Amino acid sequence: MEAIEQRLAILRGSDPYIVIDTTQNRLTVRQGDDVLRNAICATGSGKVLLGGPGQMWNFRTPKRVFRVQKKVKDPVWKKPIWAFVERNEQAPVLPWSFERLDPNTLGAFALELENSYAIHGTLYPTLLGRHLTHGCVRLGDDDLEAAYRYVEPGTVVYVF
Amino acid sequence: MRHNRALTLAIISLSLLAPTRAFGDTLEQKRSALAWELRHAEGDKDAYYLLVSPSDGVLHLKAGGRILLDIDIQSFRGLSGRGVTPLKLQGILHPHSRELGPTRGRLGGRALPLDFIGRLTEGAREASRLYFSPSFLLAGDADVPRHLPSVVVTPVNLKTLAAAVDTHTPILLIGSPAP
Repeated sequence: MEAIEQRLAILRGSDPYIVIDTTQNRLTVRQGDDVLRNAICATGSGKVLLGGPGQMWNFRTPKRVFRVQKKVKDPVWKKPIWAFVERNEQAPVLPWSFERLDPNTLGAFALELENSYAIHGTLYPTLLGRHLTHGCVRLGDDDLEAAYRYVEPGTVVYVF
Repeated sequence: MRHNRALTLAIISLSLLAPTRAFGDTLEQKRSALAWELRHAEGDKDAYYLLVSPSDGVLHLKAGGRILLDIDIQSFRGLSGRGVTPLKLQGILHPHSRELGPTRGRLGGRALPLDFIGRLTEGAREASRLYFSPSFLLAGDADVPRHLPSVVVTPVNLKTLAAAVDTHTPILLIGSPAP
């Protein structure tokens, strides 16, 4: 039995990993049998935004297994087209336009996942625990900093 | 006198042997469960599976040997037999739902689930049940027919689990006593 346990332990690894429960809006950082951090987060609203012809965005947090791609300190949000469509504003034509850059919205840290999804901070901490984001996962300042310190690029993020 | 002493010795021996046997069973179940878990995790490290341990009163959601969630069991009625039983999810049952037929309503490329009086709903509800083949239910309320093997968790935990699992997600029942 010890041999099986060892093989399972090798498979499991000893690195921290993140679990995001989108039903209860909970983010947990775990390592082995330990819970390193338990936090309330905000996840995707599930709303659908229709833009011009053929343009549609679905603001849900995908249920899948991600890997952290990059850790970013003081992240700058490069606003996508939907951020302008949502406000009924004209999106800048050039993708690198200065008008697209927003240094204030994402908080002090960001953990970039695949497909432009990220775990980042929020300007509205009182709204944590709700389904209201555009698909990213928002955390409060302290929890975000803790998560940032625990994980490294390649850390597995289970979202369900 | 000698007969009585022999009888006493036999009773003491039996009482000593009984826990040993029970412990042996538990170890065997644990070994089988670990072996199954290893096979499953080696097949797909990211695939979720459920592990029910009635003796600990816990249901684990796991992937690749890692614990994702620990959920307290409210009640448990197992299948007959004391071994380790793997089952697969066949679907999520939604009592009091109306069937939309083969076309189903859609909005923005997504299915449009409606409850029985036409309200928009998504995901499992408190009364939903996860049905595992051949005959096992994971429910979020205690109102499960008594003759059915089942495990009951809180309604909010049921919704979480329903969001995590997919058709054919396996569940492993460890040492399930007969209902």
